[in-house]
Amino acid sequence: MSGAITVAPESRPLDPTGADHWRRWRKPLAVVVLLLVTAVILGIVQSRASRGYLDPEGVDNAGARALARLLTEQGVEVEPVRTHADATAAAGPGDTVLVTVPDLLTTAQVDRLVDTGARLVLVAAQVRVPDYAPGLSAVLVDEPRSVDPACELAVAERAGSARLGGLGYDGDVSRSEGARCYLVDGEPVLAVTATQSGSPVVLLGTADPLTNEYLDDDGNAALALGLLGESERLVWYRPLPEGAAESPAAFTDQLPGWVRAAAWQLAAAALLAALWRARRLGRLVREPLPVVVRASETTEGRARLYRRGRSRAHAAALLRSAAIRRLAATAHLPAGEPGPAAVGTLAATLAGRTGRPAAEIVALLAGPPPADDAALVRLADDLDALENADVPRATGASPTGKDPRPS
Amino acid sequence: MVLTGRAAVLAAIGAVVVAAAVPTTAGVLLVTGVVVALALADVALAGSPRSLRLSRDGDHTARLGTTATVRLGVRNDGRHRVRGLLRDAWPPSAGCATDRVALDVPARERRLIETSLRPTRRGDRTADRVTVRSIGPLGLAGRQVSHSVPWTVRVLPPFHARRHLPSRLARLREIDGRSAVRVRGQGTEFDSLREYVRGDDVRSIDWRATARHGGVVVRTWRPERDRHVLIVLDTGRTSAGRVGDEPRLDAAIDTALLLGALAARAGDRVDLLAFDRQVRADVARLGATDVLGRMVGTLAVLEPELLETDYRQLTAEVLARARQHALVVIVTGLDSGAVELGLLPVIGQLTRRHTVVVASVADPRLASLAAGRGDSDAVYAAAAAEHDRLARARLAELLSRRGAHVVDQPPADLPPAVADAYLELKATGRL
Repeated sequence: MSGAITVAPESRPLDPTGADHWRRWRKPLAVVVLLLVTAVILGIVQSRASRGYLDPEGVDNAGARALARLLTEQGVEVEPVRTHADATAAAGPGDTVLVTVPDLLTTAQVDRLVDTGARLVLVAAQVRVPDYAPGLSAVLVDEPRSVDPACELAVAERAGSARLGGLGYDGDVSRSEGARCYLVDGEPVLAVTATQSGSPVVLLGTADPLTNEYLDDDGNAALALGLLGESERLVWYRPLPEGAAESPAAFTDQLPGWVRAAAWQLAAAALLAALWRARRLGRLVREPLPVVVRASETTEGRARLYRRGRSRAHAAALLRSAAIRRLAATAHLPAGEPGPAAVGTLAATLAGRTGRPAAEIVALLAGPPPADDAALVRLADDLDALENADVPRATGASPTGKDPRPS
Repeated sequence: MVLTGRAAVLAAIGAVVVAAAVPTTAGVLLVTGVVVALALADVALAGSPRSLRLSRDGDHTARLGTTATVRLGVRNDGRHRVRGLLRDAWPPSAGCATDRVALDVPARERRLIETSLRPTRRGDRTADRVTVRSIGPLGLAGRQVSHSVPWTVRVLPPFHARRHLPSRLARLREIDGRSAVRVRGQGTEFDSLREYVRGDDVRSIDWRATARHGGVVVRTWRPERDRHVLIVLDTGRTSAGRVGDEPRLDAAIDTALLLGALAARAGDRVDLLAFDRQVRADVARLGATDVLGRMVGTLAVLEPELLETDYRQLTAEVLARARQHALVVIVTGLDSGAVELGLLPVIGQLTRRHTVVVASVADPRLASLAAGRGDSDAVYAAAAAEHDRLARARLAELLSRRGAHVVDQPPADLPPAVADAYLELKATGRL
């Protein structure tokens, strides 16, 4: 099998080894690791700084860590929840539930939250107000500013003036121990009323008194503590946008367990197949391709230009001068620039040889340009006919017609 | 590391196992883990493709249209058998029929792989990498490495005009023979003295030799030998245009080869120059013995350049190479304004000192377009073709008027036509 191989060019493995890979990639890898570590550290720091609106762990302006701390120090058990299920599970009669974005809840979710019998504190509720507290509706009022209580609610009186505004609550609050406090533009920004089932609801038109930014201004802290610290437990509910929880169980949940496992295993097989197909057997080979352009490209381009411009006069002149040139050559006339005189001489010669009238030949060779495309096609055919009529005579009558120099 | 289809199939069979026995996440992980572990073991057990030593031998050249064979020797210096797939990659125009072959080389042994190439284009075809994929004993996975095993096959022009050579050589001998009875004239040189035979021209009797010799002795003459023929190929953009299925340059190369072979056989000195804006090929002093080999080798790698040919500089190059009177054959295409603006103004400088033949590769498509009739589109095309034919004819006339001989023929007819023009010039002693 193995012949005498003259080892002319020695082979050289080209693909890098594992060590080569490590040498080549360790620096970029180090940079990537450094970036990741920096990002993680920054993320941890950032997450403490800015966690969102009314977050009990947030230390930025919109957070409420200060309030949560104060409540804890007062002996209130603060329980932060994010989902509706957690909130309804955690809350019970006698508890207080702070809902930071009440409008995010669906009507059904509101109903279930109300059904827990807990006391609700709603911050800036707007469209869902009638669901929580029938008979009330929200109206837009002036921006938050320092306002006096102007009501006999004990909490408000203790707190004194507070920073309130944004939304006011219009309607009847007289159902049970209702109160309308802190009037802005004539509407109460703090309203206390009751739900359908009779549990108390506190509507607060703005979150400002609760936030870190304004907590130590005016009577904000006292108002917040009074509103939220009334009961032993406070469920701090920051709702997330949730779909309807009543949706039927997913299709996949109804399948037997082995289908899901087999699907995952098949996915793994597909991944292996993808890896198998993805690896090329060697790289693509470069092929320097030659230029492919026909030599007649310019001629065809010119033909298209004539056609588009309908330049019949030009085309006819070209066909005629080519025919004259060929006819002059067969008639052994000097092939000079075709002029009227030369055409006349040629026509006379041709008339003698083909038997057609000279005037007709002159009209064909030097007549007016054709009027339309059909006339141009006819002209081309007529020129061919003239040349064909001439050729047999010129070759057939060779002894006499060898050098028929006309005078 | 590479996987095979078998690994994927094994994982798919694993799906049945998972479904039947352990339909849990742990089961999926377990089965996939087993497959991956087997694949890794296979990789570890596969013979190292890195330890292969490859070498080549075989054909360095191939005429276009013939087959070249390049052999690849594979020696396994490793400790394990290497079994798998080998790909000997060549560019597509090298015409490699099958570039991947199954490979099985036991340790310390050597195998020979033959690759036959049938190139589709002229020029150098350089082998790309040789990639070896060594698959492990289970056939699940393996290792892959590319080797650089350089090899170049030079694809030579086909020289279709070769078939015209015997008839032209016969004609050359005829001219040589006939010349023995010729009287002295321009472009002839003294050949020999011989005894008078009846029929010889009495004017060629050498009286001095006759007196010395005793018998009547005549001088014989022959066309001058050792003339200088300079073939100039225009490799500018006009040479890139395709006539039929080939670029103009290929027809020009065929012409140059036939003329070179003929002139060298006739005892003339042949120089070759390919030029556009710079010298692309330059072969000087071709002797009769190696003319074809050297010309073919040089012309094989010539490619058209998309540049406007600088005829002024080309003239300077020609004049620098041909100090004595020479036959200068310029092979180009007449159909562009380039020739009119470039060659026409400088052709006088060449014809003043040299005999100049302008050989032009004509396009038969012009004739077929010019014969188009029937509808307006065809007639417009015919008019455009006539325009170009008239321009060519006028250009040829202008060149002739300046003293050049113009040969304008389609690709197949150009080489014999130029050879005939050369023989005609030689016979009439105008070289």
